[in-house]
Amino acid sequence: MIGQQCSVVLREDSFYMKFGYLFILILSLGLSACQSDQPLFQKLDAGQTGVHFINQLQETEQENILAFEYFYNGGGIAVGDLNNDGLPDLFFTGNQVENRLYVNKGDFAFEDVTRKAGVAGRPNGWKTGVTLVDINADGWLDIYVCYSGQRPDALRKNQLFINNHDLTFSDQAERYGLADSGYSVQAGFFDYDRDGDLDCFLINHNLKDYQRKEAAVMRTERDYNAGDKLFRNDGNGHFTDVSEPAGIKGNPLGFGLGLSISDLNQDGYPDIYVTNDFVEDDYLYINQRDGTFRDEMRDRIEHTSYSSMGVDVADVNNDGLPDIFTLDMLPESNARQKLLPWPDSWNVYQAQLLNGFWHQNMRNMLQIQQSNGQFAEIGQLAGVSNTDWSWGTLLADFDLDGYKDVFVSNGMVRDFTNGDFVKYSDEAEAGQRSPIELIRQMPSTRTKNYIFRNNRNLTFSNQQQTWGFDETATSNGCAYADLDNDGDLDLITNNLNETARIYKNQSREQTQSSYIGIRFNGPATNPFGIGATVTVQTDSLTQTQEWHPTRGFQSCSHGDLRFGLGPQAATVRVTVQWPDGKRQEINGANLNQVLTLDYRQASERSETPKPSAKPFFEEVTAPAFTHTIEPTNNFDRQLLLPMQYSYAGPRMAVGDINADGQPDVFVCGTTQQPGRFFRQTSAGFTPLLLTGAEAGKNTDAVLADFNGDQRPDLYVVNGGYEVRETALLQDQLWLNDGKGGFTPQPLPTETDNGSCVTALDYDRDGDLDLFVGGHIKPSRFPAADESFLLRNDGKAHFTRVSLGKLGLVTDAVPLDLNHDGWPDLVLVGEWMPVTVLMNQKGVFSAEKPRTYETLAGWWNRIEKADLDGDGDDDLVIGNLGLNSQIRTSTEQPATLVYEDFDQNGTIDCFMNYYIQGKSYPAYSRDEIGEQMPSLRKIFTNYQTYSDATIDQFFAPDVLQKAQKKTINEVKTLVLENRDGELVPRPLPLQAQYAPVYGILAHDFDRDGRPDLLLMGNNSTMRLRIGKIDANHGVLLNNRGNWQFMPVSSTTSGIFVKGDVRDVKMVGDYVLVGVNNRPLRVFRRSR
Amino acid sequence: MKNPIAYLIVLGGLWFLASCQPKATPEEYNAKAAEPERYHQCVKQLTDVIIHDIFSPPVASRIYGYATLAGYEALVPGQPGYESLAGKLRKFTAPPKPEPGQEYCFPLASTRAFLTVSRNLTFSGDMFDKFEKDFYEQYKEIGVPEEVIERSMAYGEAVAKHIMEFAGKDSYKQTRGFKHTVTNAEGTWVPTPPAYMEAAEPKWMQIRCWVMDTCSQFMPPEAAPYDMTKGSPFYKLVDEVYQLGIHQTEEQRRTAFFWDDNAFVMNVAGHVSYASKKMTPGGHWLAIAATIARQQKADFAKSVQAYTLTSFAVADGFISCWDEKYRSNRIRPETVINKYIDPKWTPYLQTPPFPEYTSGHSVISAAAAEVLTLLYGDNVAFTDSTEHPYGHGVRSFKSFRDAAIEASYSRLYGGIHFRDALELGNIQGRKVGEYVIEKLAKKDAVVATR
Repeated sequence: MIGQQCSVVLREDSFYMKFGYLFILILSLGLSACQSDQPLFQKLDAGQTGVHFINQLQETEQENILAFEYFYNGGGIAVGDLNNDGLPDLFFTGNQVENRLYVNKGDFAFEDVTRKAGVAGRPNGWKTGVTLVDINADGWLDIYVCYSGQRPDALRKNQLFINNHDLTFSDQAERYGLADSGYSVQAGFFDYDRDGDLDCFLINHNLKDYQRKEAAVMRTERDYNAGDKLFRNDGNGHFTDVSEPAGIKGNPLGFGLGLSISDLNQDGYPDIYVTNDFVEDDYLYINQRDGTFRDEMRDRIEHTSYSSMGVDVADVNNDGLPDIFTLDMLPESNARQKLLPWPDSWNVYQAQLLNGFWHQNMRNMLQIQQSNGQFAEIGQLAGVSNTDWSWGTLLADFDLDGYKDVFVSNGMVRDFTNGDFVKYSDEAEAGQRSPIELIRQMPSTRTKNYIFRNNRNLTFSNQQQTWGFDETATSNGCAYADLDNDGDLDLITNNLNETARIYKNQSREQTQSSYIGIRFNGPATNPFGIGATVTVQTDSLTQTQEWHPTRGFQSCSHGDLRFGLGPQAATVRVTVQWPDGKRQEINGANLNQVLTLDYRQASERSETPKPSAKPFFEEVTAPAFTHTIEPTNNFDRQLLLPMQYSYAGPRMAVGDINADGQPDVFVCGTTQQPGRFFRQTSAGFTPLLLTGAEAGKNTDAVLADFNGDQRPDLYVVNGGYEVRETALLQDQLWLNDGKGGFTPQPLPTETDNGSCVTALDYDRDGDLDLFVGGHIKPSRFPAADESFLLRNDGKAHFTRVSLGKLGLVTDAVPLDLNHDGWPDLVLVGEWMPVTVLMNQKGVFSAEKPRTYETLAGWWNRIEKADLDGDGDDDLVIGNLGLNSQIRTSTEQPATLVYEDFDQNGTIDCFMNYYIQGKSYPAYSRDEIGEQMPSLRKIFTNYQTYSDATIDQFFAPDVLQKAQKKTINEVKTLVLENRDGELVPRPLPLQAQYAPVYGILAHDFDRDGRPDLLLMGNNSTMRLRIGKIDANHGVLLNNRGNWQFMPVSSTTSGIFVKGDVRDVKMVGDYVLVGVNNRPLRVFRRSR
Repeated sequence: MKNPIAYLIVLGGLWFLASCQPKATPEEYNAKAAEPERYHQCVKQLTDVIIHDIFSPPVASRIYGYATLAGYEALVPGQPGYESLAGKLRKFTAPPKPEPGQEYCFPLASTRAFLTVSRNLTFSGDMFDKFEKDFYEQYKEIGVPEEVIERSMAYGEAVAKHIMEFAGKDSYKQTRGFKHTVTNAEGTWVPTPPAYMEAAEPKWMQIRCWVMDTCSQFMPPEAAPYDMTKGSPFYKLVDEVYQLGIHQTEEQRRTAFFWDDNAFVMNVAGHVSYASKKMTPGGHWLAIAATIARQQKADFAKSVQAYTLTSFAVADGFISCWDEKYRSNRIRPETVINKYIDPKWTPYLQTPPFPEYTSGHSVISAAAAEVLTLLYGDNVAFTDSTEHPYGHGVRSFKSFRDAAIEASYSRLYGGIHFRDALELGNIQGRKVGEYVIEKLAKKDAVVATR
């Protein structure tokens, strides 16, 4: 997100942010609505188009969803000009029925030429994916059709229909060595070895669902039928299987369902993304440029979809870097979320990790590529995570505004994962039913395909209604092409048990937007120029597309490339990079035409790499210290807990303990390791153990002089959600002897689970007092422990002044808000409003705090800095962020409703949040039934629970008396301190990538304004909230006037994965404390 | 019917017929009400609901315990030779007494009490609605007077209320909402394929015992320590399960399947999954109690007593067993075999979701068999066809203890337990059963077997 477009993006960001996320939807709806009453896409009638193809399934005793789990996966589509008449033709695969080839006669009229063409497919074969490729480089597209199903090997051989140039085809798969008889799904053709010709990557799947336990062994095996394969084009009309030497996994765990080819790491060599259904991880094969690939999934991507299905790779934010979008099955509506399974067992998840699988969650994942080749997953923030049982996705600019939109085909013939079916379909006569009878018991719910408009700010808005996808369908394969050559992309879907659909795009008719199309006249061995990368630049936009037609589920979009240019474009510059690296640039290309790029015009000259500026910071070797948390599972104690609280820390405290002029740092301890100092020396940091300190959970610490000897003493807060022995909650004080040695000093006895500490002279007697914030009463979420002051007598003798239970306080800063000379306290916490305790001449009115009720958040951190240069400190407050299912507003808050409802001595706490306008409990029927079995009497099946709200849990009077907490703001914000009032100001969307637990205000670019480094993430949320990990260190450049601009990690030099819990400036160093991981150290480089 | 007078006469006749049901004497209707088949039906109904609602075996044993206790206590005031269990069962106080001098149909009070508690402790009330709609009609048909029906039903409900209050104090509520913490330490239990379900009822040892003094009263010896060195005692146990698994005989398979009694078997094939549900081990033994009662032509009271005492033996058996399971927290054969011997090995039966030692089925089968042996005598041969509806065949046994031993070994054949968990579990269960008899049944037993 650097470069000239940033200002545009930022302006829009801040504009949208002001009005909240919901407003984006309304705004976008409004924008489209005011353009035309007609939807953007018009579904064409089969009678008009002549395309009557139906992928009709016949369920039999032998062949059905119980016998063959991919029975409902459907067929694919290939679009491309098979007779070289300038119009893209349509090819549909049928699973049990014959394939169909329709020739485009223009004006959306098609003619079925299947019979004459000879491409109906092998009788009794189960056809799946289809790909168009000019395999013999004769300038005519050939057709490669995949086979799968419970059929003998001979019926599963893939077919390669060679184009005879007269709309007839001959199957020559055997001759080419591509008659693979595995369980094939889809092939992609690309030049991985850059020898000029097209090679083939084939994804296969297994029939048998292997269990996780077998993974380690399975991974070492190769399975001919299930393993993916790479075939090298030998250049003599024959392909050789080079999978094993090339490093392609071929294990029987593979359930490959999606395939995308893209030069993800921009090295000129195409890479491969493979989605795998079920437990097997997705594969991210990075081309090693020596004929081999390496799966770098874990190095680059932090979590993936679970049952990954379709995938597409394209640049959705126009930063020139390809992004990845994978599909899964998470529904949008509460009812379907409650009826269909959504993994929720922490133990099962851990077992999966222990068995060697990667982090996988059940929802679509949008992986935005960062400047260093790493990916940040923001599907939920982007608004594209929940599209139900999804098959194919296409990232393409449907409205020609220059930004790629999202289409998702979905639909499942039967809800065979419906909870009531799974648990209650079987009564008494178990195992006696015929499969067909069992299948008839499965409910059936039709869903709508999804289409999202790119809001140009990393978010998308649902356009099902306004773009013409407001009816239900069961769609699998999907493809796009400009079928009528009017400039915009039309859509085609292959549907199960219903007619395939063609949607005419009316962007050119309805909007003023221009376009440019790109066609390739490639080198002799690759006439269609597959693998070329095209960049189109206008005054305001730079867009990039890679020419890889295998897209959409089991499908292939082999039309021309289309670039939308919006209504204002005047001049266009087109740059192409051919697969062998040759380049060509065309300045001032005409708009609204299809430009043919000729390989013979390209030159060897490669682009001179831009000199990259030195980053602000550089990582240096950190002292050998790994923060270690004892493995535990808080969900065993309170099974409805929103997140685990034991995985906390490390927070840090900074101070010059040995008076050498170099600030040192104290890193808080855990039950596995005592807290310790790291002394700054000329060589970096060296550990210094605190003599007498024992291992124990320190939740926070502060270094400040409490006894007036000008040496920083150490106050350590002890706490922990899991602590059972109250003695372990006692905070500790260590006095500095002036030589860097510390001796313990007694403190008033306390047994509160403290979360934070800050030093301030609240009574203005010249010494520093302390505020200690109280967090969760151990094992009693969301009951709070007490917060208190410790009044200093000047000699580090403290007296406790209780402030009562102020909420789940997580952090505090002193700030003289009303400029009366007495420091006030600003507190933040979880499920509580931003709270100010005003200091009335040495007394805090804890009973009457000033609360900002519209700022009730999931606050984790607060930091102060003068952001607007007006002389007083403003505040930065770290929140949950927007990258989760939980969205809130004042009207639609998230709530906790809690009480010991069944009077068994434990708190029953139910979290609720809004889904599609209504507040629903965040838990499955199973989970609430475990917490309170009596609820299962009310909700005797999943259906009755599917629309349940908390009001149905309890009688009105019980609910009335229950305790409540709310959240109406989840965004991380800055608060402008304006005349003693705190005024919220938005931050760029990057600030909302993940929960913020570390805030550093520091002038990185030395322009006189403090910039903000926000860090955090949370990988121990309950599973359905999931691992939120897209923040790798978000640096926001303070541009003044409350404008902040995200700075890439390449520029900041700071890139950290994991759950950061604190970030501190220590002299010229930035120290980053990461939960359960090593400490990270960065040094200022300029 | 054109003639209005004829119409009236017919109507009147119908009214007469309806109002003049056969006048039965208390002796007559009580004898009919005490037809034991009525009680067997109620127990069967409860089993069906338990299967539908998917209760784990320990929880099911608790439901059976309170339901049968209610049925028993509502019967005994009218049943010479049988006594209330107040004061004998832990913390159980005397239930309300019937009004002296009033006429009652105690077998009806008994079924009413049983069904009321059953409904209370399960979820699917609609299933009881359907059952009870016709069930109480029978009592009218056999001539129990309206007011006696009302009074007896009310008495049954009063007893049920007392039992529910008793049930409310057994720590069941307090043990909800907790999960077992998986430590992944070597040799300890971890969730098992295919569903990787959470460990069931990790706090069950805190449930109030029925007859036992404490949950650890019959603590079994320590299990063979985890040690995968070839030739170690534990290794031998593992290897035995593995070898039996790969060289399984048809008879072993039949035995294992017959005693599966897994309340919730998840059939998983890709995204498709559906549960097969069966009786729990406790439900199976109550079904055996029904079979025997029918075979031995046991009267109503004896049938009720047998159900009740069997339920207590089973319920205490589960408490005793669960106490040990979460103490030893032992790994399942499937986990250890997959890790060290054969990663693809899958047991014939699906591994149930809780630690291995001791075998629940071994403990409760032995406990139940002791009670039934005392009530009906040793060497009572019987044929058990109760699993037939679930597709599990029919098996014949020489005695209850014989059946219990076979149930125990079936877990080895099924590949879900090690031998020591069965053999020591069987001993543990026998002790539980003997103690239940010792405390509750000695005197009655003498009467019954005479």
